[in-house]
Amino acid sequence: MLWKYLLGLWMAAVIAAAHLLPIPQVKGLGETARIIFFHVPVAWVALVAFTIAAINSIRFLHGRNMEFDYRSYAASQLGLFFCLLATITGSIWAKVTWGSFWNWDPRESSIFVLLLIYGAYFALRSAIEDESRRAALSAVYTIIAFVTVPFLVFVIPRVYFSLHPAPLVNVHGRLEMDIRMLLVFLASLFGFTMLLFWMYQLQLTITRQELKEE
Amino acid sequence: MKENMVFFVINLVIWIGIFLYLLQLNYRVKKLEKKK
Repeated sequence: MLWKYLLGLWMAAVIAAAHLLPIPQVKGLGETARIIFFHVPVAWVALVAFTIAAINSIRFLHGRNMEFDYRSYAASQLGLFFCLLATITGSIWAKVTWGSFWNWDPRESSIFVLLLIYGAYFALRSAIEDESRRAALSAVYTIIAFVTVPFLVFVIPRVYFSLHPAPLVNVHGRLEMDIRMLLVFLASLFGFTMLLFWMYQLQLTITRQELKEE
Repeated sequence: MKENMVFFVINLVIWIGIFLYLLQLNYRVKKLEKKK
């Protein structure tokens, strides 16, 4: 229980630092560059959640243990939630810097496709009544869906011209960020990852119980 | 000023979203515990 309070304090400190820290002014971005402190960690935890879902799907197919299906389902729900948050916050930022909420930029298009893919996963699950069949098909679908993730998140936005600011690790393979910004960013990344594991524990308890009762 | 406001709004959206999600998770966990 204590770690949850500590996490709350940690995130409060991150929020304060993210607002108050003077950041280097980048042309065209200005103060909106602060979005990196929250938007990127949210997208990161979505990726972590989708990875957890895929790993548990593989483990389910290996041993047909229903526990792994519960874990995969719980992680997918959180992944979709954080993916949605990243999309919403990104589009608010796009309104200010690009002039409209949605521009079909490669980054926006790829996250939209990702949302559709994982949205379809829940449609698939709700369409099958038989528990073991649902778990098997969902596991296969989750693995295939996860294969698209690196392409949609890392490859497509780099292949096509995008207005989206350069990724953290640039084309030269270097991480060029002000050291104080980097510290706050890493602190935020850590905080969000811990938050994901807390939410995952809760989500898993609920999912396990509800699916067992079905 | 407008740029700072945008960051504040983005922050607000994220934390309200997470807070509401956590709230419904806690509510559902408590409901399951009562059932037991």
